[in-house]
Amino acid sequence: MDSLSNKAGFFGKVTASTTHEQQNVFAIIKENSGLMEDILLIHKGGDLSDIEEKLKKCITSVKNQAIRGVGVTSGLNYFAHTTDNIENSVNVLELTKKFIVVTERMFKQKNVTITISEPEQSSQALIDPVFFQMVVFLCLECLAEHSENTGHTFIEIRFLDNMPDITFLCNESSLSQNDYRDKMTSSTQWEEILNLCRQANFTAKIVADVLGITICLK
Amino acid sequence: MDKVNILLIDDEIEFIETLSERLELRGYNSEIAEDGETGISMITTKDFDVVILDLMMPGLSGLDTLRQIKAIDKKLPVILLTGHGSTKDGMEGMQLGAFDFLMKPLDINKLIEKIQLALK
Repeated sequence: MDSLSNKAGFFGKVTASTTHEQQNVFAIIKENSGLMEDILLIHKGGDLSDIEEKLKKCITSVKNQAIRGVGVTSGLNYFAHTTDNIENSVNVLELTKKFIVVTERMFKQKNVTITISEPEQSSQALIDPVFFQMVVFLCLECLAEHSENTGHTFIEIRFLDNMPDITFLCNESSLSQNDYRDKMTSSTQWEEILNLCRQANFTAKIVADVLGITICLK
Repeated sequence: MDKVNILLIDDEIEFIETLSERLELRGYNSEIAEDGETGISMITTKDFDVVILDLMMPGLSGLDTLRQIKAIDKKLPVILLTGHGSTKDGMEGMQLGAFDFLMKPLDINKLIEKIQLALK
């Protein structure tokens, strides 16, 4: 598949998940608005003091969902703007954090929780931010899919101080390390990771002693 | 006349709590489950007349939950909720035996209409 189709597919996946979450935000706001209407209709002409608590609860829910919605839209907007420049001096940690916010729900659907271990000094790198996000996404997908965990999968994203490398570590797998590694490296995601890294001038390595992938950005 | 018992299954708790209240104001009994496994467990221990089921949930997916519901009680009507623009999941759900599907955000009057049709 060519680079443009890959990028289009990637944007489709991320925006589909984020806009789905936005639908949930609007659904909650709509139900709360409707409930307030129902309550006021039932109590029309009567004493409203006994329903004050119910209405306050609805209003709080609407406010909280509006805040949640702004967060979702802001994240999506930031994501959309990462296409503005093909090559950019990027704070790799900040870009990763914002990308995880946008994709968190998608991975939660797959029973994957992602955490980020922040370095004391984050680094800048001159990279294509879209390729970078695609590589991050594929690394997470690759680790999540091949861990064969029946329960929850925890993936840690690690940065070293002042180094533009990024490491993805999976907490555990029901497979042995060698089997997990073999499965990962023979997967289509791994092939795509290597392909993207070649195009973006990154290097992808399997981490030696644990279940993980390191991406060297230079 | 006996009240209709509805089970709402969705990981968005605020959504189903509020929807449950609105259905109760309209004369229905309703209970909620925040994931597929809890919903399945409730179906095995209580009688419900209709299930309202979200398609996109973490853990046991909406479609897998639907499969298990149908394995327990083939005749229990299930109305699917989807936030997707495309109806692909909705159609797959229909093939698995769902009664119908609705898009989120919901129009409660349309939901009531579907519930009444399902009960006939």
